[in-house]
Amino acid sequence: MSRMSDDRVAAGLSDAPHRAEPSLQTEMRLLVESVYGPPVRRLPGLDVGRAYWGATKGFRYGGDMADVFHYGNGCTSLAVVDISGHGIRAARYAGLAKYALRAYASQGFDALESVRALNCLCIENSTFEGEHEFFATVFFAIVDAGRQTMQYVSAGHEAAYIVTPDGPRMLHATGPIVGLMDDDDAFGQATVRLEHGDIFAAVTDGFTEARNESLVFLGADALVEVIERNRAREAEQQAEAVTRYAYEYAGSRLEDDIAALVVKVDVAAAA
Amino acid sequence: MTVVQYSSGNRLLDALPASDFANLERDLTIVALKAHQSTHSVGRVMSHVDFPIDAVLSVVATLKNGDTVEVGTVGSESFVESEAALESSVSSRTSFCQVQGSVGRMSIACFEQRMETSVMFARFMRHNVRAVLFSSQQFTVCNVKHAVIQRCARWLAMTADRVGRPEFTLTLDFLAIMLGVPSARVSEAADALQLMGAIEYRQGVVTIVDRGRLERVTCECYEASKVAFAESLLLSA
Repeated sequence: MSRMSDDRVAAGLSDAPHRAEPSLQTEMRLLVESVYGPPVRRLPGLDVGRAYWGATKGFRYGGDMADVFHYGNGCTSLAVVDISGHGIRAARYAGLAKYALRAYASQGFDALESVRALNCLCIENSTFEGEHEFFATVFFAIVDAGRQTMQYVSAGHEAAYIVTPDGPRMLHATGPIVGLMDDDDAFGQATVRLEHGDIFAAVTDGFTEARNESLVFLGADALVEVIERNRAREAEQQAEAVTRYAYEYAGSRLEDDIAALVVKVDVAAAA
Repeated sequence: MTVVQYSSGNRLLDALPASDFANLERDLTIVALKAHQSTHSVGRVMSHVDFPIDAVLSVVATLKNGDTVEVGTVGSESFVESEAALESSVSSRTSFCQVQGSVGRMSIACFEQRMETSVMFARFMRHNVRAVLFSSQQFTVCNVKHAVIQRCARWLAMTADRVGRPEFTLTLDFLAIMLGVPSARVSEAADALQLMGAIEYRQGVVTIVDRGRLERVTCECYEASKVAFAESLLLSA
C-alpha cells in the first residue's frame, strides 16, 4: 500500500487499507474521517469534491476540514477550516466548527452571522474549557445555485479562488481569524456571482506553505494552476489532484495537513 | 487619623499629582474584562479610554489577508487608546483583552475634559504616548533583527510585569499569532526557555520560575521599553 493512500482521507476513501502504524495515528485517522463524513459529490447545480492529506512529519493529522452541506431551502454551505495546532484536540475542534456552522446556517443565519456566531462560540468555549484555547482560519460560504450567487466570509483564510474561463479571481479575506477577539465589527462578508463553468477552489495553508527541497513555498497561485490544468475533470478528482500536487512538490515531506474543496458550477443541473 | 489615598491600581494614574486625584474615583468605572473581549474597534468613534489595572490588553493590526498581529501590549503602565491624548476621536486600531483582569474605564468626554483643564494630566498622558511611540519603534527593530526566542522572552517578561505576577494564562498558538511567527517556532522557543529553567509551561499556563534567566534571554528591547515607560511616570510639576 502506498503512503499516499494512507495519508489521504478524501471523501469516499474511508475504506483505504490501514498500514501498520501507531494506534494513535490510526485513531486520529478515523477521527479525521469521521469529521469529513461520507462523500458528497452531486448537488443541484454543483459538482463537489473534497480531499484531505495528512502531514508526513510530526502530528500527521490535524484540524483541517472541508465541509459541504445542503439545506432544505435549496442553498448549500461550503466550509474550509484550519484549526490552530495539531492532533486530536485540533481535529475535535474542526468537528465543532463543522457542526456549529451547519447549525447556524440551517437556522437561517447568513454567512456573516454564522462566522460571527462561530467566533463567539470559540471564545466562550475557550473560557469554559480553560486552557483549551483555539483559533481558526475559516472560509464559509452559502451558495444559492438557483440564483447563482455565493455569499462568503473569509476569516483570515488566504487561498480561495473562483476560477472562471476568463481567469482566476481571488476571494480576499473579509476579517481576522476566528477565536481571537469578540469584535463583530471585525468581520465582513462579500457576495460574488457564479456563472456556468466557474470553479470554486479553496485550500488550507498546508498547501500554500508546502516547501520543496530548496525550501521555496508552493504559494496560492499553484492552486489556480492545478485547477486550470484539471478543468475538465470532476471536482472530486480535482480536489485530489490539488492535495497530491502539494505532496509531490514537497517531496513527500508535508509539514502540515491539507484540506481542499473544489466546487464546479453547473447551472443547467440547477434547473 | 489615617488618611488613605485613593489608588486606581493603574500606575500611570497613580503617578498623577495629588491635585489630579480629585474626583478620579468618580470618573473611573472598574470593568472586569474576559480574555478576548473587545475594547475598541478600528474605525469606530471612541467612547472611552481604558486604564488597565491587572488586565493586559493587546492592540492589533489586521491586514487585508486577515493576518492579525499585535502592535502593542498595554498594561498598568499605560492606557488604551493612546491616540485619545492626541485629539483623535476614532480608534485607529482594534484592542482586546489578552490576559483577563480589570481596567479603570473613563468616558472619552471625561478624559478630554481632563486633558483640557489639567496641565499635569495632559503632560502625563502625552509623555506616556511618547513611551508608547518609542516602544513601538523599538519593537519594529526587534521584529526584524532579533531571534524568535528573544522576542518570546521579551513578550513573556513584559506580560509578567503588566500582570504583576509570574504566572498567567497563555497558549503558544496565541503567542504565535501575536508575534506573527509560525506556532512551531514559538513552541521551539518555549521548549528552550523551559529547558534552561526560565519558565514552566503547562496546559496553557506560563510560570516564570527564574526571572533572571528569562531576562538574560530577552533582547535589549525589553529593557529599553521598560525604561521608557518608567521615565514617563516620573514627571515633576
